[in-house]
Amino acid sequence: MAASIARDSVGLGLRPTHVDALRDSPHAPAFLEVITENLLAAPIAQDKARRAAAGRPVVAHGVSLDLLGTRPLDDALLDATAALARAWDMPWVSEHLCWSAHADAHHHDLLPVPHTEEVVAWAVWRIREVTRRLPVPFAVENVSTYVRFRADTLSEAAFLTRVVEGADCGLLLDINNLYVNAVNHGHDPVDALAHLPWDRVTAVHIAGHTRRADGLLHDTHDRPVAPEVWSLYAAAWRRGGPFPTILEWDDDIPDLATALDTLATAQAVRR
Amino acid sequence: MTRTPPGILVDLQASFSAMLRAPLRAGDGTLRAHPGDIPPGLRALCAGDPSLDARLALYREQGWRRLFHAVHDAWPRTTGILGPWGCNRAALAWFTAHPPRGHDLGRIADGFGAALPGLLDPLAAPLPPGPLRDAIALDDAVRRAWHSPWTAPEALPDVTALSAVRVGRAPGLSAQRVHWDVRSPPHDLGEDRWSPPRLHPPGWVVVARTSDGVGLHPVDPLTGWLLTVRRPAPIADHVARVLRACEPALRQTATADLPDRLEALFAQGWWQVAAEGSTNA
Repeated sequence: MAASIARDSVGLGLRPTHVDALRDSPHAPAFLEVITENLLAAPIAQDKARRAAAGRPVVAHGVSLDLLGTRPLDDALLDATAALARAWDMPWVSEHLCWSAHADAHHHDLLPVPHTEEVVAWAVWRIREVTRRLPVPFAVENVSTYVRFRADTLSEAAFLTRVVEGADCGLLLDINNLYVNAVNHGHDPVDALAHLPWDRVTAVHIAGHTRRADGLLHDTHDRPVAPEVWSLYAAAWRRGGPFPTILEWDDDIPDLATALDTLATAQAVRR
Repeated sequence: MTRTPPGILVDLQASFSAMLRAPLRAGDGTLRAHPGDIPPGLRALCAGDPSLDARLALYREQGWRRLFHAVHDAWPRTTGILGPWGCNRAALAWFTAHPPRGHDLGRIADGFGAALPGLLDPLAAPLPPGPLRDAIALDDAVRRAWHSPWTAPEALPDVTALSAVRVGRAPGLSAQRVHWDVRSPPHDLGEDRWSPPRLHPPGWVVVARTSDGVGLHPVDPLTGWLLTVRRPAPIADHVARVLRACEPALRQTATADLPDRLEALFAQGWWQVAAEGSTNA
C-alpha cells in the first residue's frame, strides 16, 4: 500500500546538496519529491535518496518522458518508473505536460505545444496509456512557456482542465509557472485560478524565476519565490486548498535551513 | 493500438527541433542564438509578437546551456583544464555530431573525453597535454565508479592456498597513474583555465565507489599496480603479472610488502573474491 501524504503538508524537491542535512532533520519537510531520472541514473542515487528520505514518503517527478511528443512512449522509462513507484510505495508520480524529443534527438527541455482540441485529444490518449501502465496515480504538470501559437484556441487553464479531466489524471499545478506564463503572455493569473480543476490538483509546486531585462520571466528555479508568486499561491489556497506544496530549487541551491524557511513561509502565507 | 499524432505537433516539433539543434554562434565572448537560424515554418506557427526572436532564443540558449552544464558536471576536471569557453566550444562540436538520444541527462556526455582531442579548436592556444590527459582519465574513472554498485568489503579469505583464490577488482574501481594534481575539480569554473600544480613524483590514485559516493585515494605504487588487474584471476597470477610489469626498484621490495597489501585490498573492498565463472572486474 502506498505511503500517504497529508493534503496540507509541505515537501521538498530533493537535491544532492541536502542529502545529509535531510537525514538529520527527521521532522521537516514532510515528504520528498525526487526527479525520476535521477533516481534511475545509478544505484548510488537510490542509496542517497533512501538516506535523505529517512522514512518520509517519496514521490517521483519525471522530466523526460516526452509526454506530448510524437515518438512512441519510452517503454523502458515507463517500466522503470512503474517499478520505482512500486518499490518506494509512492503516493503518486508526475511528469510534465510538454514534449522533449524529436526524431533521433532528446532535447532535455520542457517544450510548448499549441492549446488546441486536437492536442488535447493527443495528450489524453498518451496520458491514458501512461496511467494504464503505472501502479500509482499519475499527475501532469503545467510548464512555463515563452511562445504562444497562432493555432491556440484554448486558454492555458482550459487546456489543462480538458486534458486532466479527459485523461482522468491529477494536476501537479506549478504556481510559479502559472505566474510566469501570465506575465509572458499577458493574461491575469488570478483569473486563471477560477478556471482550473481544483478537485484534480494532486499537489502544487512553488519556485523562483528571473525577470530579464526585456521583461520576459524566465523559469530558472535559482532564487527565492517571488512576492507575486506568494500572492498567487495564497489565492490558490483560498480557491482550492488544502493541497500538498513542494518547493523546487535547482540552481544556486541554498542550505536546507533556507529551503525549510521557504516551506514555513508557504504555511504562513496561506493562513 | 497506435494513433497518428496531430499534424500541427509533427510540424511544430520538426521545425522547433531544427532551431534547437542549430549550433549557437560565437559572438562577443559568448555563444548566442542567431535569428537567422529560426526556420520560416516555425515563425509561421508561432503567434506574432515583436519579441518572438528573443523568446525563441531563450529556448535555444537554455537548451544548449543545459547540455554544456551536463558536460561540466560529467567532466569537471577536464572542464577545469579547458576553461568554460573552450569546453563549451568543444561541447558544441560534440553535441552537433552526437545529438543526445537517451532520457538520462547524466549520460549524454559519455564518450566526450575520448573524442576531445578531435574537438579542440586547432587555432586556439595549445593545451598542456599532460594535465588534460590526467583530467580526462580521472573524470572517466569517476563516471564509471559512479554508475557502479557498491558492495561491502570482505575479510581476507581464510584459506590454506590463498594464492589460488580468484580475485577481481570491485565494480567500477580503477587505478590511475597521474602526473598532475588534478584530483579535485575546481570549485568555481570562472573564465580562466585551472592551472594544476605538478605532482612530484607522479603518483597512483584509486578511484572507487564507496557507500557514500565515489572516493579518490592516493595509494603507494605497489597497491596501484595490484589494482591494475582487469580480469578475475588467482592472486598468484596477479602478483606474478605485477612483478613482471612494475619498476625494478619496486620489484625488489614488493615481495616483503605483499601480505600487508593483500590484507588492505580486501579490507578496503577493492579486491573481492570473484564469483565462479566471472570474466571481468
